[in-house]
Amino acid sequence: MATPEQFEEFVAARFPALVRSARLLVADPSLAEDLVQDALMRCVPVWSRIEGDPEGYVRTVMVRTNISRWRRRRRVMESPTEVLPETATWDPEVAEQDALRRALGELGPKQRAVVVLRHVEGRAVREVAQMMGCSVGTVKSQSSAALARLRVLLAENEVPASAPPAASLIP
Amino acid sequence: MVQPGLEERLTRLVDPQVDAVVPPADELWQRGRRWGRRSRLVNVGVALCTVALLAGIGVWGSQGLRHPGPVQPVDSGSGVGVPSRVHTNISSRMPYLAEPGALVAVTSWSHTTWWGRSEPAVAAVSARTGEYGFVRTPGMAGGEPALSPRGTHLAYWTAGTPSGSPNTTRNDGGTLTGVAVLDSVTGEVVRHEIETAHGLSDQELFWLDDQHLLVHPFHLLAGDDGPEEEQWASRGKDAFVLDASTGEVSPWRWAERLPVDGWLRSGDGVLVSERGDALVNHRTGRVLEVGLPADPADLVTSDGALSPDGDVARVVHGDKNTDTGLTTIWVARLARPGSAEKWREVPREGSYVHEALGWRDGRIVALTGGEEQALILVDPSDGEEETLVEYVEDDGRGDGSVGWSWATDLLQTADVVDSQEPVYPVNPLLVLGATAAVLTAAAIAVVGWRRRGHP
Repeated sequence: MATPEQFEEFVAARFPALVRSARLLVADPSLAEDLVQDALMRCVPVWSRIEGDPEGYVRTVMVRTNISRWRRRRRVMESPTEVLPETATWDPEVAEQDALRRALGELGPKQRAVVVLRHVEGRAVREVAQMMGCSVGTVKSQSSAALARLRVLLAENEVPASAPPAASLIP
Repeated sequence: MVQPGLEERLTRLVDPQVDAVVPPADELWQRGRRWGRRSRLVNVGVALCTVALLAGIGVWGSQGLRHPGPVQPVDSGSGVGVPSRVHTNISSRMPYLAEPGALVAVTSWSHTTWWGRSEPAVAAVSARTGEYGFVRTPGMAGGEPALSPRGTHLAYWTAGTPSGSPNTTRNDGGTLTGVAVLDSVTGEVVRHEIETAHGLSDQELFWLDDQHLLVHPFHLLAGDDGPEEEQWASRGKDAFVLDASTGEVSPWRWAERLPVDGWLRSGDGVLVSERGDALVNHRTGRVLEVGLPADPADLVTSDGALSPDGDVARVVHGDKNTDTGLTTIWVARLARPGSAEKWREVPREGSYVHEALGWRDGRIVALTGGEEQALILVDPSDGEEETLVEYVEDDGRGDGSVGWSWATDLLQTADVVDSQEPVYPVNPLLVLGATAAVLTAAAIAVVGWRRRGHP
């Protein structure tokens, strides 16, 4: 049976991994940590009733909490930057991932969660549906719409590989 | 432009560099427990509020479904009674009387169904319990019902298909083609279809006694495709008597010698033509050589009342020279033709009298009109008045004012008993709406708190 000690062990072991996932769900790093702490605290009242590995339960709570708090949060945080931050070095792989992450940040919370869970973390459709509390059909339709939207966003913000930012050329 | 390989790029999306500091787990645990307790308190609070509100709605919604007082047989030796007060404002959502029994008063009134649809119906006051409610009248198609003298039978018009083009303009409930009689004690209904080309006007139904209904059908002259002026005209013909128990029909035997409308009725089968020119016994077929004195003043008169002793009371409206709205009550005794008997005006300066309904212990039962409606007893010798049934006017709870038709024999003989109040059910759609609103508000409160609540 789970105990506070087990909770402490779980937090110590899995907090960074949970934050990494949360960083894909919300753009702001501090809000990502806040989301993980929020999810962990929501799990406390039922901690003793969680069977098996609690991580799946915590991640489910995290995803759903993020979606349900979206409206409140978006008013204060959803402000994707228009201009790519300047980087001191030019790495096409890093630039591509930055662009992808930024495009993810412009999706709505449900679509973002679907993309992260389904395509980044590679979870099965049924598992994603269970975690989000929706139907399999909804996951599929959200996934399709999200990918289409991502393609548009990436096309709009595409940075030519042959033309690195001027800042990276300055010695 | 669609960039290919997006899904593959997503799978290669590496986790961002995370330098998060692991928070103190014991602090998270304590905050989580506090949040859990708050959550339970909110849930319990919302649940209690919801239950309280639903209970309130339940009480509010059921208020009009129960009779304010206990429904018991009236305190009367005969088992039937006349209520001391009658409400003129009633609800179209009243329930049906479970066991109507004899009825003391009825009125044509629309019944509003659960979903708000209106249908022609008969509202009644039970002579057995004093309850108000609707009476089940299968096939009723509108028009005024006729209550038998002792309140045991109710006659009403039914709709059907005429032999020619139907006239649908005269009656909202359909083309009238028949008459039905409800036995309010047994619940049995006797129906009789009348052969008609375009339909019937809702007149005349007259109870000769508690078992025999005189029907004088007025046939509409044209259907919907006929001349407009004829669609509203009708002609009476082929009066007949319907036996309420057996449903047997016999021709009205006085059709040639005597008019079929304008009768005064008294006792078992004794009738007087309103013109005062004949007294007949419809059961034996005898024409008695007695009648009424000459008309009091060649004035506009209303229906009259004939007592078992042969006293007749009639209300005269206005004056033959000045149409003042004055009403006077005149009385006379049945007399042989040529006798010196004359009409005599009852000396009184009381309220406006609408019509005379009967005789009770030597006094005239009359319906007063104007602002203060009531059934009063008028002493024919000195005009002294006493209230028999008080009319309770609009108190804002009903759906409209009605005019009651009374079981005249009960008015003359039954004991006056304590009255019941009608029920005024709340619109069930309002109750449903309020319930849904409370449940929705509770759900919003719980979900909203859980979404906004930060542990």
